[in-house]
Amino acid sequence: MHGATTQHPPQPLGLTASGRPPDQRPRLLPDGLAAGPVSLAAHLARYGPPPSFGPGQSGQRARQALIAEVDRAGLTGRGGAGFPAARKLAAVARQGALPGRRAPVVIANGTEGEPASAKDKVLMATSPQLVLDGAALAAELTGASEAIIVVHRAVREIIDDAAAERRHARFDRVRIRVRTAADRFTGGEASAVVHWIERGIATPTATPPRLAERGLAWAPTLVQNVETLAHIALIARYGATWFRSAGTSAEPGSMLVTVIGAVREPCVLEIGIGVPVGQVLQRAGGAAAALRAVLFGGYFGVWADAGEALTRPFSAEGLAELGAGPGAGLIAALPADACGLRETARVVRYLATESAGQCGPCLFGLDAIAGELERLADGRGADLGMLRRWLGQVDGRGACAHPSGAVRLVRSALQVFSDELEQHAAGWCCGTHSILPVWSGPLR
Amino acid sequence: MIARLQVDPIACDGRALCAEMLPELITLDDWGFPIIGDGPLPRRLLGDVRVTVRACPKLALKISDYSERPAVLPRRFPPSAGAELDGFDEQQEHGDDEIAAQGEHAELDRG
Repeated sequence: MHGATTQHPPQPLGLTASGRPPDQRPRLLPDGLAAGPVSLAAHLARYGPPPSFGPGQSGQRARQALIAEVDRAGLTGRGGAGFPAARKLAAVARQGALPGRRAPVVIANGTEGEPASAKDKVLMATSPQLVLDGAALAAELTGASEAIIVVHRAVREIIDDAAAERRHARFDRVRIRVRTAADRFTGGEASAVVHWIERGIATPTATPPRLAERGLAWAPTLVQNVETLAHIALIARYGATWFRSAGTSAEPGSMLVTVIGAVREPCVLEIGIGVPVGQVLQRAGGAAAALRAVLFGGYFGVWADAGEALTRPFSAEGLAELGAGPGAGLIAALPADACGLRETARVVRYLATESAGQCGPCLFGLDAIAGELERLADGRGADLGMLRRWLGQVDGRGACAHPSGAVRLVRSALQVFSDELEQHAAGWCCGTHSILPVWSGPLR
Repeated sequence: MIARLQVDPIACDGRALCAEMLPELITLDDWGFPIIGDGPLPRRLLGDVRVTVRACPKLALKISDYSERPAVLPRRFPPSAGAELDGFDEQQEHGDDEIAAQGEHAELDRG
């Protein structure tokens, strides 16, 4: 967990698209949330019991109805890719029903290998039962007999205790297993998580086959971010209409964001999607200095000029014009006395180090790009033409999106910090300190 | 079928035979790894393409259907032999017209 990140006191989720206040039933990080993990009893007292499914035809219909409800809710994956959750559930359920297929497996992805992000860890540390509810429900919906929770090691014990509590209470029909995630940035990619569980190798694998068809041990596999699963656990209780009472009509619901950098209280917050970025920063105590830029999404994200960024709604729609998106919910505020080019160079060097090393263009290309960026930041005469050539050569050339994500970050930096390129060429750098963590400290 | 030539970037080791055999379609990046044009394969080159695919020492090249989304070759193998191998054998035998991935995730998918 990022050292400076604290649990922030709960606040209203902000405006909805219609301007009405959202339904105030508890969401992921509700009012009065205890600092420690919530017990099963307290969890059930807060949210009520999750639905259970009877045997036979009626149970099957109820499962299909819940997938349809998740679809109506418009829930998208909160791990960064934003894929519709119901379509993934339905695909795995369909594959599992095919003759000759193994029983599906559900994997709750709590790897959160990105050093700047803490939202999954905070969720698992405070509401572990909600995540386990979601994983068990996803297993019910897809016909899986097992759910594997892959968690960052910082919260392993909390999830272990929560799972043990459910086991003793005989709460779930499905078996819940807990695994510690690999300590690598690329280890959170869906196929890498499967590879890690299966063979202890946390590298992405190539598609096809798709995980929904043949994933873990060749079984249809649902890999879903832990926050997404927690949302499913709430939609199952309160329904799609409740879920859509926060957020915008195009992007309903709430999401967790990690706010770091030049804000007074770096924290993890739950916001209604579409709340203006400036308002999110206010809830993190407000800007602690004059802001130069904001990094959106994560280390695969996009820089945006602070002047343009603060008034935008934090949603895919609102950030699209800046070429950015909510991604995995990171908002990093860059103060005027830090250097965006240097920050980018540090992050890209980290991403190059974290390459799984499987694809040549990623292994060699990111290293070359990082080197050129370091020369640029240090005013050692970088070759911008060569840098741009390499960005073009690396983009889209990996088995996973790792190299393309790094390229996107660098391209946005060259654009947003274009005025500073000349200064750096003349050997002058504006930065006095760094804001982006490139390793996650002792808790990593 | 309109064909497309693809490389599995995980399998590819940058031996660069392909770029020598098919300079019309394949160039090398600054580190010696093949960049393959994204367009459909011209018919007149199909014979040469097949020879090149077979010549790759890492078996990293594949001809697939242009109408499908771009994809790379399978890397994960079934944990045990048996009934589950059916789909895999099929891919081996019908490599040329085997379906490409329908992976829906343009972004890095972290679930």
